[in-house]
Amino acid sequence: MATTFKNFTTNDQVSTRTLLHEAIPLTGTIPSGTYAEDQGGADFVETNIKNYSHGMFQSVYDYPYLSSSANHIFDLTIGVSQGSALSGASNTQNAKKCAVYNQMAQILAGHDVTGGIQKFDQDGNIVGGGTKLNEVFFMNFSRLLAKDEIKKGSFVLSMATGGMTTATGNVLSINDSGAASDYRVNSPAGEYAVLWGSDGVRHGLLYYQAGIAVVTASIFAGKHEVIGAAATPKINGGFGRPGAAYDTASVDSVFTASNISASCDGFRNRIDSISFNNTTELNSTIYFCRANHNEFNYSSNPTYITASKLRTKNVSTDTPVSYITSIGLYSADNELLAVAKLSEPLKKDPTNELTLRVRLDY
Amino acid sequence: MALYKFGQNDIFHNRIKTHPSVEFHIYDSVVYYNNHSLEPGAFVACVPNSQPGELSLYEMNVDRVSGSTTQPDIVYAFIEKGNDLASFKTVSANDFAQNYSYGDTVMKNYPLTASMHRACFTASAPRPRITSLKNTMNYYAPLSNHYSFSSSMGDKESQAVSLISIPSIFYGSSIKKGTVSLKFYVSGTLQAELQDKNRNGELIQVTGTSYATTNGDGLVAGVVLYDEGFVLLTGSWNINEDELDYLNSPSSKKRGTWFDFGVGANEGDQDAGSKTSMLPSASFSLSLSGTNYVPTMTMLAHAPKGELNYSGNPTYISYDSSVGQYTSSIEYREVSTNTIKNTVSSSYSTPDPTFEKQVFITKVGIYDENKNLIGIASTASPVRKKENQDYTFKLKLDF
Repeated sequence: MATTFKNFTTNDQVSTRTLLHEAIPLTGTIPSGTYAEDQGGADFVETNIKNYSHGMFQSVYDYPYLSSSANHIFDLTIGVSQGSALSGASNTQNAKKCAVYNQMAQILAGHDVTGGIQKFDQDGNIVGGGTKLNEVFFMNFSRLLAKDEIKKGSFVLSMATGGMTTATGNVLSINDSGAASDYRVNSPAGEYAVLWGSDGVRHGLLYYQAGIAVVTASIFAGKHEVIGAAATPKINGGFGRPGAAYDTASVDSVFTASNISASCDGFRNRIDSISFNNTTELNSTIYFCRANHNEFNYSSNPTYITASKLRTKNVSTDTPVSYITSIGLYSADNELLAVAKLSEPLKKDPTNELTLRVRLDY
Repeated sequence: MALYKFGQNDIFHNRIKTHPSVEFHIYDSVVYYNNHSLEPGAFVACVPNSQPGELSLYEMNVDRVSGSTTQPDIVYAFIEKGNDLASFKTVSANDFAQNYSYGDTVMKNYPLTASMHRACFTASAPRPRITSLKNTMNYYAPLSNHYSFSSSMGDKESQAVSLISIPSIFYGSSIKKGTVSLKFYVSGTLQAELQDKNRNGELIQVTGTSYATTNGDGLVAGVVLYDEGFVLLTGSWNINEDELDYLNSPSSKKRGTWFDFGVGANEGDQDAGSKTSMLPSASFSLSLSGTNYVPTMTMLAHAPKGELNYSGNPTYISYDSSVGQYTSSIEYREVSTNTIKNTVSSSYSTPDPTFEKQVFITKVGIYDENKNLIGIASTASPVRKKENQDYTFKLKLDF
C-alpha cells in the first residue's frame, strides 16, 4: 500500500490516439443465395433478409435472422428524387421512394440557404452544380461493421451489373480509391468521397462516419436486353429477383412499377462482393511513473517487518529493498481511481531508478 | 431551443445489481453453455465459429471460413505499427520490435473466446496453478478451514485436486454465494450433487443415489473462490459404483469421485490425469449465478409551465408564411409577421378551432458544460404541451 504520493508533471503525461482496424469481407453469397430456401415453386424465401410491413427498406443479416447468432450487416433501400424522370404519382410506392430520398439527402447532403433539400451531387461539388444523383440505392452498414468509420480508400463494391445469367461477364468494381487524400467535408454527416467505377465513371458517394454508400441506379441502365424469340425470351441483364415475374424488366421499370423491396432484391442478387476496412479510435493516456533512486525503497506491507525488523535487512548498514507490484493512480483529492499491476515484482533499492509506463485506454 | 441546467435534485447515480444465470454442461468432452447447442451452418460445423461452451467476443465471424476464396472469409483485426507502438497482446515484444517495420500491419485473428477450463492434478503431481492460489486460499481460511492450503483436512500441495476455472466474463464481479451447484451424472442418472448451501464456500454433498449418500452425504468435496472464479475439488470418496475410464486409460477404469468432475472440459493442454477423449456415459453440470453491477444515471428534465411553448421547427409556422430574412451591413432581421400554424384539434373541418399555443415534444437533448450535445432521448410518441402544463421527463442512462 502506498504511503508516498508523487504528483505528475506535464512531462509525465501524454495522450495518444491509436487506430484499430478490421477487415470486413462480404462475399455475394451472404446477401443472396446461401440462405435461400426453395419453397417448391418459382419463388423462394431468403431467411437472412427481413422485409418490413412499411416496405421502406429491407435488412440484411449474415445468417437467418431468427437465429440468435445472426448479425445485422446492412440495410438496403432506394430513393428517387421528386425531379427524377422515374418519379410519378402513379408509380408504385412513389411517395415512399421520394420520402426515403429526401430523408437521406437531408441527413447526408443537408439544406441549401433557402431551406430546400440538397440533392446528392455526383462529384460532391454542390456549389459548382453539375450532375445530380436522382435515382439511387442506399446501403446503410451497421455499426457492428462500420464501427467509428469506414477506412478511407478501402471500400470496394463489386456488382454484376448485367444480371444473374451473365454475372461474371458484367462485373463492375466500384471503389473509393484515392479517397485517403481526396474526400469532401461539406456534408453534415461527416466526410465522404466519390465512388469510382472500374469504367472510370463516378457511380456514387460513400459517407465514412455515417457508414452509408449511395450508389446510382444508372450502373444497371442499358444493360438490359431480351434475346431470343418473344415467346421464350432469354434474359441477358434483367433487373430483379431471380424467378420473380419482374426478372425480365429493366432497372427503370422496376424502379417505377415495383415495390422498394423488388429493387433491393435485384440489387442484392447482383452483389458479387463487398469489402472494406473499418476504424475504431482508441484514445489513450500514458502516465510515466518515475521512482527515483531514493524513493519507494520501503514498503508499508505488514509482511515487510518481522520481529520488529525489516525483513529485507540483516544488519543496519544493509540498503533497503522493496518489490514493486502495483501502481495506484489517484485523483487530486487522493482518491484511488485505478490500479496498474505488474506482470512480475520489480526489485527497487537505492542503486536503481525505474520509470513505469502506465497506459490507460478509453 | 431553450437550455436548462440540471438542479441538485435532478440527477441521481445508482447501481443495478444483476445476477446472470450460468450453467455449463459437460458431455462427451464438449462443454455447453446455458444449453446452447452445436449449430451447424452452411459453411462451418458451429455457426458462431466457436464451440457451444464458449463466449465469442464481438461474435463477428458467423458462418465464415478462414482463407476461402469461394466461401465467406473471416473478419480479422489489424493495426499499423506507428509511433505509439500499439500492438496486440498476442504479439511478443521481441517479435514486434524485430519483425515489424513502421507502417507494417499487425494482424489479430477472430474469434476471441472464453470458456470454463478444467485442470486436474493427481497426488504429488507438479501443480503451479494450485500453488499460485496459496495466499488466496489462506486469506479465506477464516470462512472455512477447508480453504486452508495445508491443514489437517489435507495438503493441497500434494493431494489429488482438480481446478475448474471460470472466466469473469460469465459471472461479472463475483459468483453469488449460495448458488453454486455441481451435479454428477452417469448414464443420465444423477449420482450426487454438491451445493454451497452454507454460503461460506464449502461445497457440500447434499443429495444423490443411496450409494453416494452412504459414502459422502454431508461431506465437503471442495471449495469455491467466489471473487476469483475458481472451484477446487478434492473429494475422493466414490459416488458411483460403475467403473469408467476417467483417466484416459482403459486399463485403469475406476469409480467416479468428485475429483473426476468435469473430465474433458477444455483440458488436455497440460497436467497429469487430463483427458481429451470421450467419456460418453458420464456428464456433469455446473450451475451458478453471478453478480454484475450496472451503474446508472437518472436525470429529471423539467418542462415548466409557461415555458417551452415555441418550436424552431420550420413547420411550426403557417405554410403561407415567409421564412426569409433581411440582411445588410448593419442589420439582420427575420420576418416578424409570420403566423404560427394552428394545430389545435377540432371535431370539425371548419371553422378552425380557437388558437392556442402548443408544442409537441419529441426529443430531449443532454448537453455538457460546454454546450456540446452528448445525448438525445426520444419519446415513444410526441408529447403535447400547452402553456398551462408542465412536464418532467425521466431519463435513464445505463453504463
